[in-house]
Amino acid sequence: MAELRIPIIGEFKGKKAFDQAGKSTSTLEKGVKRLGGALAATFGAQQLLKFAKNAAKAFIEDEQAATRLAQSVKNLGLAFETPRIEEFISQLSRASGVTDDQLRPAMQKLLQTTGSVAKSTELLTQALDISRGSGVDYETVVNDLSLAYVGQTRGLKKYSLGLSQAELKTMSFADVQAKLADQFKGANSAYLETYAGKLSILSTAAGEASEIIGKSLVDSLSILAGDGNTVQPLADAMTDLAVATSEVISGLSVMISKFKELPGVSEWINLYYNKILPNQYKPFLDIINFVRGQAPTPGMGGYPSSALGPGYIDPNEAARKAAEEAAAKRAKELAALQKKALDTQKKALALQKASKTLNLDAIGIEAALKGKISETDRISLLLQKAILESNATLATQLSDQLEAATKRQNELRALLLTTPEAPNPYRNWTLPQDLLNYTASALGVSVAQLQTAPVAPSSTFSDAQMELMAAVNSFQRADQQAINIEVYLDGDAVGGAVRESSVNSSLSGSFNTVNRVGRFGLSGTQ
Amino acid sequence: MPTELKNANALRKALKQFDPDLDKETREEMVGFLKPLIKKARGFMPANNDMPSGFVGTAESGRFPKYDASLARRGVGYKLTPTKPNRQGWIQTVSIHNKTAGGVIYEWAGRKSSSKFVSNLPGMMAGGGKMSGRALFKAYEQDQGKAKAGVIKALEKAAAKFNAKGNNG
Repeated sequence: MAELRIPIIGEFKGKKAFDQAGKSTSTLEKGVKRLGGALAATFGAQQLLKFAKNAAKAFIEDEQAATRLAQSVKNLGLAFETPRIEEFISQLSRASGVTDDQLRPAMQKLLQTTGSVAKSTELLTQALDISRGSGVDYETVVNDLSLAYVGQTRGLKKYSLGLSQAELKTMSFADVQAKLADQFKGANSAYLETYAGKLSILSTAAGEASEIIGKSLVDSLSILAGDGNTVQPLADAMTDLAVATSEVISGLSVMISKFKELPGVSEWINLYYNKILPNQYKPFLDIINFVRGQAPTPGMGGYPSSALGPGYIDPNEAARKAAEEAAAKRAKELAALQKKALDTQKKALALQKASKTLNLDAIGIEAALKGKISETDRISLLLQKAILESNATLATQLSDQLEAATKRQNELRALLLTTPEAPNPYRNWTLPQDLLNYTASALGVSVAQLQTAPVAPSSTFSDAQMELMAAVNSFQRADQQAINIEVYLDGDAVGGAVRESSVNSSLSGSFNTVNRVGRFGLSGTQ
Repeated sequence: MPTELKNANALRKALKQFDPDLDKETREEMVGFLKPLIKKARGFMPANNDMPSGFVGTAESGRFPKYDASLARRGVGYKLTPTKPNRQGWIQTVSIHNKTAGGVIYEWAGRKSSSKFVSNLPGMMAGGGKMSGRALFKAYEQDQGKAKAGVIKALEKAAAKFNAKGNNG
């Protein structure tokens, strides 16, 4: 199973085999002294070469990062600020124990966001305090700050500022920055007082030293190759040089190791490198730098303004001022945009709330009141509206009215339920007597006969008398006799319609055979 | 590189046997220093949708290992008991680990070579040489020795307390 492990604490136990191997090696060394010496020299050279390789690699990576930052600064139109930024990063790295490999990308990000060197350096320094105080790693802090600068405050939640997300959203960047400063001020200084802080400063200084040595190594190799500006001659001469260099280094390392074994030499070397050499040979080093085409290291900030006296006018001052003004303008625009967005959001929320209230309550009530509703429903709706409007007086009045209306409605219902069944209003209706007398006389029967039995037909009846008789008889049988309805159809018309339908059906493809004998298109009706 | 603390294992054994309370206290103190480091390392493990799609999935036996964010995060942890001696004779008394194959690939891919796969991986390498990586090593690098110092301090404190008790008792 793949497994990757980093030891935090270890202990060397050794093994029998190691002891044996150790004994064998020492025996061998004693036996063959010259071989031992040669081995020691080789190992020394290997260590030295390894260090040189690492140092050169560190310098190359550092240079790449610096180039990226310089290009980014140049693209922002602030190329003249590059030395000042580099100097600031170098100083901050030395003072804080954060490596310049971390500081450069952070600075690049802040510069791209703010466009202001002053603001970026301020934020870069503040990020140190925040990182040390909160335990969040430096890259994340810088990222959060750059996002907060453009109004995205979501990332600030992790710093436990005691503010809700809504509050963070409504705060300006200046307020956020002040709040962060209050919370984490002095955290970096406190950290640097600790053992770990001091260790990190030493570690950073060692890394820087390694990079400086790496630079010298690369420069030296280029010079030795014949041309200090290109690496092609170096590449050409590399093979030859490698052999010679390894031999020289081996010899040197043996010589140095023997030399250091002499009593008092180590102390003298320390004194010479740390005290005497820097003071005595500084002018000489300056001359070398001058010959190399490099000016002596400038003072604080990369600008010799203080060194040249108060009358000196920095040629980049106007450009710097313009850049800072542009950045400040942009910051103001951002703040205004943020404020505008917040206002719009607030208004939208208010509108949403208002529309929601209207939709659900008031509008519904108004719509219902416009319809055809009972008195009780009308009072109920008005009461609901009064409650919504918090009109207590009207609500009380309407409540009383509703109670009275409900009471009246209940009484009416009870009254209706006790009302007796209504009789048939036509029950007392009778035929007029003179009409009965006339009919009886016309048909030659008595009135009593007319009402009880059908009138018998007579051959002497005229057509009018026959019709009257039929009417009287049918009236008498009305409740007993079924009504016969006779419908007379025109045979030609019906037959024609059926034939036409059959012919149409046959033309459309579904042949209809009305007459199954085989004579299509014919049908009969009776 | 490990920091050698001589007789640390013997101390842990003695504490476990003769003073379990102090042993527990020491263990908790060490855990207190290691947990933030592990939490940070787990935080560096990317989500599945940030990884190249072909690399994400469930690992199958005998096939190229795949990455699963949940498993990879669970695979990052610490160990407070000593390991077996390695070929050089070193015992790791306290260590932190990244155990899943997918997690290890993410951690180390591109240390020695570059490819399209490596360039598609999220996150930057941190640290140098054999101590470089994207998650566990990055967290270890950024911790700047705080966890190590804390663990050593806890063990030294435990040793002092244990010795004091032995002298007084």
